[in-house]
Amino acid sequence: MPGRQLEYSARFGPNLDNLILGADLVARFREETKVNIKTGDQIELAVGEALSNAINHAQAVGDDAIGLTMTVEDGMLTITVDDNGIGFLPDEVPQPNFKEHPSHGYGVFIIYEVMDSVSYDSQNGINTLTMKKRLEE
Amino acid sequence: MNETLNFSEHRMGKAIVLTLQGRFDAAIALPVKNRIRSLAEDGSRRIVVDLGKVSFVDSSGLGALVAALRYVSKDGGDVRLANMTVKIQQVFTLIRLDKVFKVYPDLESAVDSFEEY
Repeated sequence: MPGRQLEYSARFGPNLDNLILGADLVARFREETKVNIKTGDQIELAVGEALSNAINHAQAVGDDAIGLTMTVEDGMLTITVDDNGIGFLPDEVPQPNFKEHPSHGYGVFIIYEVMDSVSYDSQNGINTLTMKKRLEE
Repeated sequence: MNETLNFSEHRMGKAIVLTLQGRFDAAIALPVKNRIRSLAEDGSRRIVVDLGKVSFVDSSGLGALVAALRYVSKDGGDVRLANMTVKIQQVFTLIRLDKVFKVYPDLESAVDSFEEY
């Protein structure tokens, strides 16, 4: 899909029931881009984890506190999840404890595992997680 | 459109089978964990979770199963998983839960595994 540009976006409040809105956006993206199943599954997973983190931990406020944008340009998918909450430092999130296997603490690890690159920025009260993945041609 | 999770249970052999259908994400993780805990508190210690109709799982969903397993195993019980699809298996393996759960290819073998338990 080189050269083709697509954009999908949605905003919603910090409520776990709104995870389904992100899932629906990803489903639309998958249907329209015909991305392969494995890549589509990885994108769906990364978006789900990023939105869960933002909703559960960011302490964001307002009905449009959390934003999800997916853009495809020249075969590169860029996903951003932004929120107006307290932010976090991804590099300081500990690796999962695979000896004890606690019931939580895997989300950021999963995002790094399934995406090609991950970055995080916090400016003027808006925290933005950016995830990139090269789509197959 | 994506389908939110529904769950139900029935007895099969010596086990209680909890069947999940739909998206198993952070929105529904706590109710599922609490349901398994409730089953254990009611005396059910042999629990099979049928994942065959789960369309999506994230770390919160799998984390709920880990938490439920920890709770049930305190009293000598076990939570075993059946019918895992390739999609679910990929997340499961990514966070190395194959070292934590006993996994069976179908419901019958998961239930039968409790016969000698």
